[in-house]
Amino acid sequence: MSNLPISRKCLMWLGALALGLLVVFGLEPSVALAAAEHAADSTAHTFTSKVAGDGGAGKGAAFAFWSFALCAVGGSLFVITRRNMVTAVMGMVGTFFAIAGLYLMLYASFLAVMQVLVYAGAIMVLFVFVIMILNRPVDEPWAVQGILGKAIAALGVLYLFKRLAGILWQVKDTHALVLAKDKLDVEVVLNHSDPELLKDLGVLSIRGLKHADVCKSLFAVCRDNTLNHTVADTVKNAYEFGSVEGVGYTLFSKYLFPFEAVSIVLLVAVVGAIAIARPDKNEPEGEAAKEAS
Amino acid sequence: MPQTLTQLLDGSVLAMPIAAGLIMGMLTVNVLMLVWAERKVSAWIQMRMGPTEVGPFGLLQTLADMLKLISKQLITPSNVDKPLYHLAPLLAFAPVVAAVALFPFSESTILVQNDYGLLFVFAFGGIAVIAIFMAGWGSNNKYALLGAIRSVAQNISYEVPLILSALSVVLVVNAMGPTLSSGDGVVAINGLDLSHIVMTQDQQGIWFVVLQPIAAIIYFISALAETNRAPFDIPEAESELVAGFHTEYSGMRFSLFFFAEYTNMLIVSMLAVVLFFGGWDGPVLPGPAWFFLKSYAVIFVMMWVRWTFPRLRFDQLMTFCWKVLIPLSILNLLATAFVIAVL
Repeated sequence: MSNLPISRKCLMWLGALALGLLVVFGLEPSVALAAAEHAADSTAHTFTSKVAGDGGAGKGAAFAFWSFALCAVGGSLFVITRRNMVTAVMGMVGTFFAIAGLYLMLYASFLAVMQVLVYAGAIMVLFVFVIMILNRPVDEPWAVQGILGKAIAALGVLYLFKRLAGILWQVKDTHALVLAKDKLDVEVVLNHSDPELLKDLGVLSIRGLKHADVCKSLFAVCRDNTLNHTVADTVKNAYEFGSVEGVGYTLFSKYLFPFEAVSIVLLVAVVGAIAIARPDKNEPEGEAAKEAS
Repeated sequence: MPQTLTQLLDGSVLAMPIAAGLIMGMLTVNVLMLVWAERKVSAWIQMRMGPTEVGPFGLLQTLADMLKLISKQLITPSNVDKPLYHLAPLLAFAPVVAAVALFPFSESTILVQNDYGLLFVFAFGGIAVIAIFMAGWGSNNKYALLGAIRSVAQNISYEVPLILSALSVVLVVNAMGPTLSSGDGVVAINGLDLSHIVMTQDQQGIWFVVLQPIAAIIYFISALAETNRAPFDIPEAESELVAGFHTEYSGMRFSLFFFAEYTNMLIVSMLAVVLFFGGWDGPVLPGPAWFFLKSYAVIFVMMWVRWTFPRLRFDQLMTFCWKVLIPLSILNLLATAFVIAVL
């Protein structure tokens, strides 16, 4: 432990802190209850009402939530403790899958599938290629040693701790949003909208449909601006949470600049990587040959 | 009428095991038939007889081969990376089974209904890449590692035109209107839902291969590369790499890779049928019959290609993908979007 470089120690502390935070907030009754409650609600919609009736489903979903959470934290601990880099990357894949599972439990199945497709599929392969091409560098990244380094690490860890705690503090808001989506039942929607209008639009057979289909039909209707605005907005917001439309509109309107900026940063990084990896043309022939061998 | 198996069993906990059992049974028969068909097709193209001894027309030959593989000893080479080596065949096998569950065999025969079915199929394809890499790295063998590197590079590259060509179909589906009349009402159209893609073709009376011929061709070429089949079978290239990433695997572990490979053929063919050939749409015969007839027709073309064209070099393969297929598929997507926006 003592001869590990400071950067790795920082990471280990961070992982331990994240685990600690999870445990502490898990033990805190209101958060745990809220999680279980939400889990029960989501199960009720995932399966049929019959399953939700026996009360065991809430525990099952809470169990799923905690196993995903443990998997995510355990995977990230695995990443920073393994010496073999390929094994570490496999730990990271585990983390990605666990996070995808958490997205699924939050109804954001589009985000979940993108998480698997982009991170576990593409980004992971990029990592693997970089590791194989670099062939495990002997030197650890440079880090400040001694008391100064420890102080910097402690500050960094404190800052991240504050940010993490801040995120956990906001859990209740997100939770309320998800609950609002759950409560958006067929009856609620029908009470607030004009049945005649729905009939005209040919969506009256709505009662025979699934919850998701109702939301979708209403969303399609709302897109034509025929319903009054408040109901339309409610339905739209609830349906769009984590859907393709929701993510797309948010990404290309509200967060357009950060989105494009990140793309440019990534492009610059790729160009930079190629520039660094290319053999230096000014280098003498003999040295380049020696390096190649 | 219940649309999905979960509804049929009323949310029972048995739904998952039953669905998994059904799929496994179907896939086993499929793989046995495909291996036999491949040998017969190759024999026919090369004017040979193919398997004739076991059963009528040699039909039971692959069953005998499978029994042999099951009874074989599992050899683990001594210097392998054990966790990765043992995990890889399972990780190659599981996602293909999961992906098959998402396909709509007919309007009322869907095992798992998902709004993002198309994306999930591609995501499961992405997991297979990890499995191939784990197998190649974990085997601690230079042929296996070379095969794995080639395979991963090829899969990642050809995934781009594959998804882009599928995306132009999604654009067309979404342009067909805000709603779609399904069995029991009106639903908002969702181009990422596999059954909606088929229903749109059914109701418009036109297969998307007519509207999107370039996308269909790009899809077919990329699908050949994604399934590592000739002329893109460089990862396995028997003559130079022995067998690529699964060189060190024996017995059932090898057959799990083999199983995954042939099931992948079925998956890309079924996806081609859903995207371009109208899925279960067809006269007289029931939906699933048409669906599988069309899928096996696509598979036959894949076999035909394999026994007709020679293998490409690796640089030709990569150049073709990055300099021809990807620009072409992006242009096709842009043209589709432009036409939709103008109309």
